[in-house]
Amino acid sequence: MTGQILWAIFMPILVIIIGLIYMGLARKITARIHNRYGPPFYQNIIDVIKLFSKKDVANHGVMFSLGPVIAVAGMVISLLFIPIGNRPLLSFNGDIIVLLYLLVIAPLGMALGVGEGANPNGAIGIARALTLMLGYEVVLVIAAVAVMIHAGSASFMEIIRQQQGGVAHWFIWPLFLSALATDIALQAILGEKPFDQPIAPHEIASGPMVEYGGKFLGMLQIYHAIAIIVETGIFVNLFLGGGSLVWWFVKSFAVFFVALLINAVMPRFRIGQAFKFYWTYPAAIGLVGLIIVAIT
Amino acid sequence: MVDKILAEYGAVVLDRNAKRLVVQVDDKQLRPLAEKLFESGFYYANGVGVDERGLGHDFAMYHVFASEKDKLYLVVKVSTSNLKLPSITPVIPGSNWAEREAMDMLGLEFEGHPEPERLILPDDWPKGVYPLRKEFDYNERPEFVERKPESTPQRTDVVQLPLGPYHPALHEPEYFEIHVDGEVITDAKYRGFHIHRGMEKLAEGRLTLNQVPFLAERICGICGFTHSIAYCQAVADAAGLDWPERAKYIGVILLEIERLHSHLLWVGVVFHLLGFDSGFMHMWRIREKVMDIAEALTGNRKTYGLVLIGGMRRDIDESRKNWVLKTLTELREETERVSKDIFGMKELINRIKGIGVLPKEDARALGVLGPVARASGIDTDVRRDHPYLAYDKLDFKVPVYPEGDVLARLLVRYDEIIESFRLLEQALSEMPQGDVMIEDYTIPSGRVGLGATEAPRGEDVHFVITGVESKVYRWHPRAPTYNNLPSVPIMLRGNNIADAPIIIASIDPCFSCTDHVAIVRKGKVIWKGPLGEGVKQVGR
Repeated sequence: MTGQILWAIFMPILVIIIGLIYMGLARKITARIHNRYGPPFYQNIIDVIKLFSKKDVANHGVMFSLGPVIAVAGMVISLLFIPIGNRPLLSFNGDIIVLLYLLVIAPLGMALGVGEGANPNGAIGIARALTLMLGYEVVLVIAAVAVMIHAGSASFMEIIRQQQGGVAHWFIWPLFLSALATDIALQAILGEKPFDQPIAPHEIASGPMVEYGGKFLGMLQIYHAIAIIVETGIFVNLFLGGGSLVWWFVKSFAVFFVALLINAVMPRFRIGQAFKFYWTYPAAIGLVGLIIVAIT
Repeated sequence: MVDKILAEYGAVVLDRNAKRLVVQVDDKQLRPLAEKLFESGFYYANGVGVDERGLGHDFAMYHVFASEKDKLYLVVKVSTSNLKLPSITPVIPGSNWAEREAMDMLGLEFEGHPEPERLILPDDWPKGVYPLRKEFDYNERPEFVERKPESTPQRTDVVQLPLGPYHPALHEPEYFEIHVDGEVITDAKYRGFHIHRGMEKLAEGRLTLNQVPFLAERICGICGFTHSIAYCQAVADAAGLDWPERAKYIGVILLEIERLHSHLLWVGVVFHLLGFDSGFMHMWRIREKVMDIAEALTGNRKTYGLVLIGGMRRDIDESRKNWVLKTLTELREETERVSKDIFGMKELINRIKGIGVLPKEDARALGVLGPVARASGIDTDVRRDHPYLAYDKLDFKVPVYPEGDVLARLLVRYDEIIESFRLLEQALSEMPQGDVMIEDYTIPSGRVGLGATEAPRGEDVHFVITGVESKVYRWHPRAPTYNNLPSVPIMLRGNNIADAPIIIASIDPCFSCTDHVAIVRKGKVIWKGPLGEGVKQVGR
């Protein structure tokens, strides 16, 4: 029990640091693809420390300050449902469904905060984020249902247990189409190109983040760091069989790396194009995957 | 053809040569003449208000029209003694800005102008102070007037999205007010001229004829060389000078190098705005080699400082010719390879196809130039239609696409990149030996000269009236973006907000070029005196 409590305290800190290092590595890898040097891999950790040491300059009201807090809190709670390195904290039958609900909390918190900021760029960014969510959530849920039917369980731990015993047992093989659909959805969930419309810096000046500075921006960086681990973690647990602590993070980074490579070589879609894309190809792939699972 | 029209409206020919014609008309005949000229294929190229009191006349407005068909620049002069002139904006929309500029800078009044509002001067500039009149000294600073901006009522029916003056997608300050309904743009307004540097006044006030080329080269950070060439062509036109052949070829080589690096830079920026940063970085990596070539030939990557009225100050380094030709071949192969990959990306092409459409009729009415005009189906190119330097001896094609969208503008520029490689190879191998400068010349005073070059962004027109004691009496450069910018609101309407930055960038805007023409001094003067001392004062 004490171990559980210590792990519950220690794990989010570990995830934040590793998440920030992921972000730094992302910058480094993208830079190498761009034929640049890029910043050191720990740059984002330095950035967050710097941002937290800044004074607040602008504040638009209570909800504006609460927005990033809700976003981070929503993400930390989601994190508790993800078994990292086979160490579940909140695990029961149905935790996948709960997680799918919890994932929405963070963007909604952002929407509330940005709404009070009254910057049209932020408002457009949030409108885009919610539109995009409608697109990818459908794909994600279809794929998750396929996994749950295949495993006969809605618990992460049960699904991981069934995938033990080597690479051949991973669900990515029998559920290849669902895994593919999830990976495409992951591109938007992670906010990587071609689906980074909500933050598109050239169009709407980083969208939701435009009014946030200093500590708030630091908080949003942390939110993003946790989000990367949670979102790649879903894929690792559902399709790549979880794994021990180190192994788990290696897999999670591999998933992130694929998203990064796509990010580096794609231009941004228009939001309409992105929405249409999600409700055609990945949704169709996911549905075929679901039908195959339901029949066999 | 032109002579018949001019005779019909009682125009008096003041000066003519093969490439340009200067006429004077009565102010009552101006508007019908302008209408007739527009109908017979002329577009509005430049408009210059001149305070001619120093030459023994009154105020005058010079309207410059150009025609590809007649291969002619037509300068129409109208004088006024009471500062009132008829506006020709109702018949040629392209003259809108030129007339407003003359209103701001000289206090001319244009009767019948649809929007007689300030264009260049800031709103807090005192009324009745006209910076380009001769009694206004170049270093004079008008009294600062505290002014509160009028509060405009917030509209509730549309969302007003400000794009600028500072925005991550724009590399220079300008302001677009975009009205959006959801994600769709319903209207757009432009307010620019935030970066005036008062170059005209500086040139007229304290520089000599041979110093202005260096100032002209600093109009633009990308295509400055073409400005200095256009200025020297204008003065050479006024004085009837002809450059030595070798100088002409050097000019062509450097202009094409400039076009290459400008277009490669622009393609990179387009990719950046579409979120395709890998393409952006690699385009700029290729561009870096073009800068190396410029350095090998002239000693400078940019701002070569090479042109004087009589020709080139220095010869280019002949011993590096083989290296340059070899590098050009490599570059061409690399550009073609990268472009082939990129044009094969369906996602990218879908993003820019069919957006920001500029119909041919609107393009012509506004006098849109260069790649923007060519992408809207207008077959125009100064290099071919009004040949200057050695372009009439070289072989090149002018790409024209009728679609008028952003994709067409990308394709036009890509084809021009390939043509530039060809031009460079021809010019380098055919360049004759000989002098690069004429030094024995006199410049008569009070003569009108016109110089036009095809800058990477379109036609540059420099208008010069020579003065006494080696001075310019009036110098008015007109950068291509000046004509292209008014078309942006037309392109924006009905498009997605996501496409606004790429549409604005698709004309390859150069705001500093456009804005060079006025003096703006906002706020208090913090230091008056030598620069070094001022730096110390501010630093303390």
